[in-house]
Amino acid sequence: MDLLQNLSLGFSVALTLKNILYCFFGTAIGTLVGVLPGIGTPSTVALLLPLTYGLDPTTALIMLAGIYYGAQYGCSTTSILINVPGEPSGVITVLDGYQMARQGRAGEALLVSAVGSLFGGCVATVVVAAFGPVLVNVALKFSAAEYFSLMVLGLSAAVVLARGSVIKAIGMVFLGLLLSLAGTDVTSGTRRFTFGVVELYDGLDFVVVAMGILGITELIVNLEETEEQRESFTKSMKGMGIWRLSREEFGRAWPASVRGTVIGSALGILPGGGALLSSFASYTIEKKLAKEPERFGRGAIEGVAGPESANNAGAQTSFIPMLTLGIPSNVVMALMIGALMMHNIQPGPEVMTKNPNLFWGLVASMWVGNFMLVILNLPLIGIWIKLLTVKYRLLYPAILAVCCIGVYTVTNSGTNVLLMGVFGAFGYVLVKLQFEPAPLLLAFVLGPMMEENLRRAMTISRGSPAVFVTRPISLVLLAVAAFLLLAVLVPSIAKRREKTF
Amino acid sequence: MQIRDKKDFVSGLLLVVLGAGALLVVRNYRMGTAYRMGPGYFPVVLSLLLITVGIIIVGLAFRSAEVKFPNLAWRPLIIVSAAVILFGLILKGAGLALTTLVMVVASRIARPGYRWVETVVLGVVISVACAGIFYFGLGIQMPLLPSW
Repeated sequence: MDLLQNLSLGFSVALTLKNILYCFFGTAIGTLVGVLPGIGTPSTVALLLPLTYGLDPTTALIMLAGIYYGAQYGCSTTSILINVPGEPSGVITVLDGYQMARQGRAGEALLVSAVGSLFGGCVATVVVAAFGPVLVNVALKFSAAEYFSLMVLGLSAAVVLARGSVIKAIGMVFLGLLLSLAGTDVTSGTRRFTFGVVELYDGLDFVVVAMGILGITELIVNLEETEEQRESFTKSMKGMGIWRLSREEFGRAWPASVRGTVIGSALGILPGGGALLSSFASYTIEKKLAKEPERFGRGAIEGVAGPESANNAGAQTSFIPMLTLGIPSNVVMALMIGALMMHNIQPGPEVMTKNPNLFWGLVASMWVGNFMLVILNLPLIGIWIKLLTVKYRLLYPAILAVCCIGVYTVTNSGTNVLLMGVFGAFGYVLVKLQFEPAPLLLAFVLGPMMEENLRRAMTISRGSPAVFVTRPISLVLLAVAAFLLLAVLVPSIAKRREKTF
Repeated sequence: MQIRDKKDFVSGLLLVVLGAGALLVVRNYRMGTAYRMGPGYFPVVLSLLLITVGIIIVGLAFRSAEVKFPNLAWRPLIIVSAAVILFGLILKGAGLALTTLVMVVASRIARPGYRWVETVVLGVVISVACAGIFYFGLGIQMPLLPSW
């Protein structure tokens, strides 16, 4: 069996002491930022990205991945106990999880969400292991035209799934693509948008843009709120209740968890999908399937088990397009691609064939990490809750210092720190004008590859754009992209969409 | 005609200005043809698309519901980005320890009413911790102490 051989290779990588240790760091940090509202997963991954430069790429990715799925665990804790989602994907868990806690069933809610997440995560990892190689085989047959169309599809999905105005999200895509072109053009050697700044000859660093627009912007937004708003969260904590499930509740929870896992695994693969969409879809379906839908919103255990399994499953399978096609399905995956590039690994189907250690080691580490999370985190919930009382006014200067030092280390240049400050201010203006940063960052990652593939496809076709519609796979990809965009641009659907998010 | 959605009006305008600015810079690069694209081809297309999107947003702002321009929190905006820029400017000369201290103290101006004692103590603690973790712990290459 090929799969078993590959997995044993993966475990031999993931179970080295060093990788276990970094997997633990990643999941612990992930849980921490998941628990803390106001510190997002993308900005944390961006923050730690430069610090992984010294690690070997596999270890770096194992740790960064741990942050991502660790945060999915952490945010359920905050959602259930504090009635505030620690992360956007925890919004759904708040609905029934907090109600359970109010009824003195917090222990059950936490248990169900942890076990549900573990189940979802483990199953989805199997999906990654089984589905990844299949997709790689397809992707290896792609030519420049298919790649370009695939990126168009990825960006369209990012636009469709961004919150708020569609047209503004499209604007962010074009702006992100433009920003990504700064630096020396590979084909002609022309320096574009460098304004004579030597540091820009190699292009704008993704870490600089991401940390500015995510990290610094988030910090400014948080400082805008008054302190009282943030601190009142911790006062509403209730008793934990019992730590076991009755047979009846278990009977309700497990089918929801299985359904959530299937939904999450499927939606996570889609570009633009991932944790948030998965948990939302799962909750909707559980409510539809329930005999008494009125229980939902009043502490229905299915409303915790389903979405929690779904968001963790979605978090795992969203690695598939990143690892196999080099196309990020969300901002965190874009950051992972940034990490790969920092280590001179070109993301795409070659990762699996050229760096099997990295691919399979990462897959295996997801199992290790998921188990570690349940074993370590359930007893530690008390400590995580204590951390919620750390005042933001003491926390933010420390976050700022780590941001600055981190960005400085990428190229040992103060100019990058300066640029991060500029992008932070720019990001704040964008947020205030209700532009979503996610499409910009995805476009920024894809920009250079997009230009490269466009050029190549057009050269092969001798300048005829027909190449994108005469090749069948490319045509299908473009048609799906067009369908997605049309679907949201039709006003009636656009209105309904605003309601759902 | 009246500008109803002031937020979107400014949003669209911002994209138009950015697109036009990019076009100004890009016009010096060789365009090439669709067959052999020069360094100017893709950016010119993108700039034009960006301007188009901006114009559409501006246009829609005349027809939508009344929306006021959002209030910007100028104080944290300016102080935080200035603190970061300051860090970038002085690190090479002033070294990690002093730069971090200065940056922390500067960033605390972002909110009024913080106690000075707390600010200074916090600055020293973060500065020492960063020096310990990044300079001594991770061995990151950067000056620790001022070079003058």
